[in-house]
Amino acid sequence: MASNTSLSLTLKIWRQNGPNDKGKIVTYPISDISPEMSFLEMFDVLNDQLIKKGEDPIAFDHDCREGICGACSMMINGQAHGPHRRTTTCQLHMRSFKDGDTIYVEPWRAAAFPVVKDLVVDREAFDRILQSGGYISVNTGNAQDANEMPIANEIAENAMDAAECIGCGACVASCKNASAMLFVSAKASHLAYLPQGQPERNRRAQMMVNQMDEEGFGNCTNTGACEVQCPKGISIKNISRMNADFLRSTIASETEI
Amino acid sequence: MSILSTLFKHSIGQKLIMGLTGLFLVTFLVVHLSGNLQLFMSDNGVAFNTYTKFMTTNPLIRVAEWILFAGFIVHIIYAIILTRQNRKARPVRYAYSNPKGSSTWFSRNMGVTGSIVFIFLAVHLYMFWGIFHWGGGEMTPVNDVQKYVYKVTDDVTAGGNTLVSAGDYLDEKMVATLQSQNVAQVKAISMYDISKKSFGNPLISLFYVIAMVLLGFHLNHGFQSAFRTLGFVHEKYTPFLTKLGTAISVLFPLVFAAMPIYLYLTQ
Repeated sequence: MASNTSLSLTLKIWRQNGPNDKGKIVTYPISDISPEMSFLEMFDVLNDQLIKKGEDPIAFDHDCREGICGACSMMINGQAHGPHRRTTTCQLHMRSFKDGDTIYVEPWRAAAFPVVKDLVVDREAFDRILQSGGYISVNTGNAQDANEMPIANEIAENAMDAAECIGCGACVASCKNASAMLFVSAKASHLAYLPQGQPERNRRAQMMVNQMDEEGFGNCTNTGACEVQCPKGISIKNISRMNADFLRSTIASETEI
Repeated sequence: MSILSTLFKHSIGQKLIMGLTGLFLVTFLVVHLSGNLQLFMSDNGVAFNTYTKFMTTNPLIRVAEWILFAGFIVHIIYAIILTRQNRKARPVRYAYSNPKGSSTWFSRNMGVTGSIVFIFLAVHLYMFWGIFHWGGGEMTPVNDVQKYVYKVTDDVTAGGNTLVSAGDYLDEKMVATLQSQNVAQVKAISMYDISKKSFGNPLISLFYVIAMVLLGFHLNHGFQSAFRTLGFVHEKYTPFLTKLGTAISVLFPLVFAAMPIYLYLTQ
C-alpha cells in the first residue's frame, strides 16, 4: 500500500470503564490506516497500539464481521453503523472517509441499552421482548409437506423482508425517542404475515408491546429515521402493521390478554 | 375497562389518543377555515357577523366548543406525557448529532411547532373569543347594530325596564322597542370590527402569518403520522395520505394567512 493513500484520522471515542462510570469522549489520533480496512479492523489496529502502550483497549461488540449477526453497534458521526445505507459497521470500509477526518464513535444511547463498557451496550432488552411473544408454538414430530400450506408470494416476501432484522439496535440508536418499534414490529410482523403465526397473533402483539414498554424504550413518532438507518432496510410499514394488530387485539380480542 | 386501561397504559394506546385528537383538531380546522371564508365577502362583515352569531348562539356549537376544548387539552397533555417518556428513554445524548439525512425537520420538531401553535392559540383566543365575550363595545347606531349583526355588550334600560341585555343580537322587535324609547345608539361589538382592528396592525398580521407557517409544518408530519399510528398503512393509499397531508399543510395555512393579509391590505 502506497503511503500516500493511507489515512490519518482523529478518532473521538466514548470511553466508559463500566456501567457506573460517568464516561467521556477521548481523542485518539491514528495514522497509516489503509482505505481497504473495515471500520472494525481500524479499531483492531488502534487497540493493538493501546495494548502496546499498556493502555486499556477499547471494548466494542463484534462477531461475524459479515453483516449478518447484528453484534456490531457503533454510532459513527451521529449515524448508526456509519454513513452508508444498509451497511453494518463491520461492512463499512475506511475508503468511506477522507484523510484528516475527525470521526466520533459513540455507543447506542438508550436507557434500555445500558453501557457495559466503552462502546458495548447491553441489548438483552431485545431478548426479553422476543421471549415475551416473538415465537410460534409448533408440535414436534415430522415436518409438514412443504406445499401443504399455500402462501402467496408477496406475503412470503413481506415476511422475509421483516425477518431480515438482525436485532442490532440501530433503530433504537437512531430514533430521537430511543423507540424500539421498528425492531419489535419486524419481529412481530415476520410471524404475523404467515399462517403459522396466526394462532398467537393477538397475544404476540400484546405481550411484545407490553415488554417493550416495560424495558423503557421511547414512543414512536413516525419520523422514519429507523428505516433509513437500519442496515437491513426494514420498512416502517411494519410499525403500522403492529399498531393495527395491537389496537385490534386490545379492542376486539375474544380473550382478555 | 380493560380496553381503556390498556390504551392509557401502553405507548401505542397513548399515541392513538394523540393521533385521534390530532385528526379531530384537523376537522375543526376545516370548519374554522370554511366559516372564516365569510371574511372575504365584500359586505362590510354582514356574512361574517351572521356566522359569528350562529357560532355563539347555536346550542350544538356550544357543546362542540367544549369537546373541541377537551380535544386540545388532551392532545397537549399527552404530548407532554409522551415527550417526557421519550426524554427518559435517552438519558445520555449523543455528542455528535446528525439527524438531517434520515428524517424530516418537520417530524423531529413537532414539539417546537406545536408549542408555537399553542402560544398562537392562546393569543388568538384572547384577541377574538376573549375580547368578543368580555370586551366593551362601542356606541353604535341601532340600525347598524341590526344591519351588520353586532352583539350588544351593555344592558339598555329605560324607566326600570331592561330593553335589551348584554349579549343580545337585535331583532326587529328589539329595534322597534329601542326606537320607541328614543334610543339611537347602543354599546355593541362585532367580530368583523375586531378582525379589522387587529389585522390593521402589521405586527399582529405578521405574527399570524408566521404562526400559520408553523401550523403547516405541524400538519405536514402530524396528518400522515396519525394514520400510521392508527395502523393504516398500505402501498396504495399511504402515499396518497402523505400527499393529502402535505396538501392540507400548505392549503389550510395559506387560506388562513390570507385573512389577516387581506384585512390589512384592504384598510
